[in-house]
Amino acid sequence: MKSFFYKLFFTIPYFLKWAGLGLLIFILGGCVQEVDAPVGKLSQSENTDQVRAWFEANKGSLRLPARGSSFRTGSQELILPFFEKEPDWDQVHHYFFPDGREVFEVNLENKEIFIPSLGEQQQDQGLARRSIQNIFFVKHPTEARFDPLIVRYYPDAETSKRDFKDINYQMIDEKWSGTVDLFTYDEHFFIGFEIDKGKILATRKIEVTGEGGRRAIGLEQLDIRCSVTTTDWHQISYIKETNTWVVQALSPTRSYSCAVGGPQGEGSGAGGNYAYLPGDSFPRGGGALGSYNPPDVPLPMLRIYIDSSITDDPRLSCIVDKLALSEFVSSIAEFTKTKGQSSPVTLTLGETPLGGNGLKVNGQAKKNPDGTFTIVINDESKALWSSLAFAKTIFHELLHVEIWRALENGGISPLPNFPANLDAFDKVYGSDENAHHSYMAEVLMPTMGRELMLLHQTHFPEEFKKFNDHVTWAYSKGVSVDFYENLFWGGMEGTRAYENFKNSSKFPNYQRDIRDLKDLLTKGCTS
Amino acid sequence: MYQLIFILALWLTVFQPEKDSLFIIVDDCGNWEEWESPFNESLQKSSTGRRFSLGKKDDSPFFFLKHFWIEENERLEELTLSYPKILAKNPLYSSELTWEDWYKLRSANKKIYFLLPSSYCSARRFDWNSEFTVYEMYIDLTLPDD
Repeated sequence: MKSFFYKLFFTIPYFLKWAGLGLLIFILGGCVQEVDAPVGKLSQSENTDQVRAWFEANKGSLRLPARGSSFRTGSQELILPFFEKEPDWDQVHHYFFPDGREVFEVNLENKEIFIPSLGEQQQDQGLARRSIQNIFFVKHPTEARFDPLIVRYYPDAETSKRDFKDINYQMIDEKWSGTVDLFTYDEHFFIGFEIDKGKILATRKIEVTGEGGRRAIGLEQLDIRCSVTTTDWHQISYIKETNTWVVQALSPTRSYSCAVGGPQGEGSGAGGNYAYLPGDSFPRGGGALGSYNPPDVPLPMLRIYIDSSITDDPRLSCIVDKLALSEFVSSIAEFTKTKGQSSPVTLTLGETPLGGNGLKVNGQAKKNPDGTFTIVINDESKALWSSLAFAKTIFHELLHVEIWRALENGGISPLPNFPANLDAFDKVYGSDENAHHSYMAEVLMPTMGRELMLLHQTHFPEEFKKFNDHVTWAYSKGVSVDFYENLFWGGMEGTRAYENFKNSSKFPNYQRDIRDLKDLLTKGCTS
Repeated sequence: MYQLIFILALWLTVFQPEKDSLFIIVDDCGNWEEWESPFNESLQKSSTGRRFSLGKKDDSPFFFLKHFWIEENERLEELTLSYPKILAKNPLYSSELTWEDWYKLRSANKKIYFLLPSSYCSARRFDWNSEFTVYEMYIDLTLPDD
């Protein structure tokens, strides 16, 4: 008996002691867990270790081979052979995409950052200071790998500056405004988002050219029109020893900016427009150039019905066919000889109105009450024109229609540097009858000249060669795009740009070209 | 019937209807200037002959009269006529033509011959035995794109 009570007497305190300790640990443990939960401080966790181990084993094969300090392709992607992408494993966001894939977003504490630039260098440096660049790893659902993407947050003002812990790809607050750009690990631009107070306004994709020279955008933007955005990039390096920033300008990139609203627009799921497809190998690293190929679909565009007054004239029909092959023209318009309700623009020969000098104009683009457009070419002039002159006038009128369309579509158009809306357009170019011409003269002239020159060079090679041979006294290095721009300047009279042009040193050459050089352009289109 | 068709075909072949012609005397001499084509030399290989232009001095870059061609088969004519013969053609006078007139003439599908200011505004005009060269020219009136 003694031994039983003796054992009980000594066992109870022993039990209580360990139970209390266990309870204490349980309570403390619960507190610690609650504190760490929101940000997922997982630096030493088993999961993070797995990601880190995978990254260390594979990062070499993800890099582009060294090709010098920078590298560009014809598509103007931002591609850099490599810059340091060493994650700070102490700063990790851990979350899941809506489709269930696990994501680890890790801060990149680099000395270099790449920023888009639209302003002065000082502003760029300010942007560099408030920008955040992270790398996120998306765990593959079936394979043992973590596909990385680089994400860069560019706040548009100090008020949107955030610390690492306050922003991630799935946690952008309702007060944050700026741009989020995603790049593949080998620095191919992947997709970008313009965000205003937490709301996605537009997506950006790199410009690609598909079969037939059509520009293309992602499949998800089938129903919306996109504008081309040119972005300048700066590489900002911080020199710790001298506490200074070194800024290096990089080549600009071109991308499509597409308004959100299509079938895969805002709130469409994981990663905005990034949808994981089973069996998809994206993102393919391994340093392969062109490792990212966005799906290629044509942009919605103007469909222009060519009236029989033009198709019945072999010479005119021929030049319209040539014009339709121009890369720029094909990016904004498609010509058809089949009349249908889907043709909002009609191209026809007919009577044109009187211009400022009391004479009938070459051509006129007009907006009809039903919302369609008609381009009328002066039928009294057709026999007198060279094919190039005819193409020039159609091109000019086509741009009027595209400008109207762009204004109706909130500035979304392949036209370069097009203002965001009518107010912005009016502010820059005015709202009078010369507004379209002002935009053409100030922005489009190089494009217009280049496309007309390409048309001449490609489709009238004999005349182009002879022309070059004859005009060496005026263009010693061969005819330049200036000549073709000069053919357009006559249509820009009345604009401020024309007045400036008139007072410039280029004007005498313009007079010379119109007065004498164009005499050599007599070729009719025959095939 | 066959004979009639044959005769008609022969007549059309031999006596092709000539393009109508028109004569214009450039009488407002002070308003015009004349210059040689910069291609005079380089085009001699394809077709010899003097090419030149006549333009208004008001600096309009859109209106010229051109005696210009590239290939021989496009050559424009020049005629030698006495002043009375020119007057007998019921010429128009440039000083009386409006922009609209020039525009219509441009599309008129007629051969237009010009008596140049250098000839008309000389003392030779009063010598009725003198002969003048009139040049076939085309009207280069470039209209604006609206």
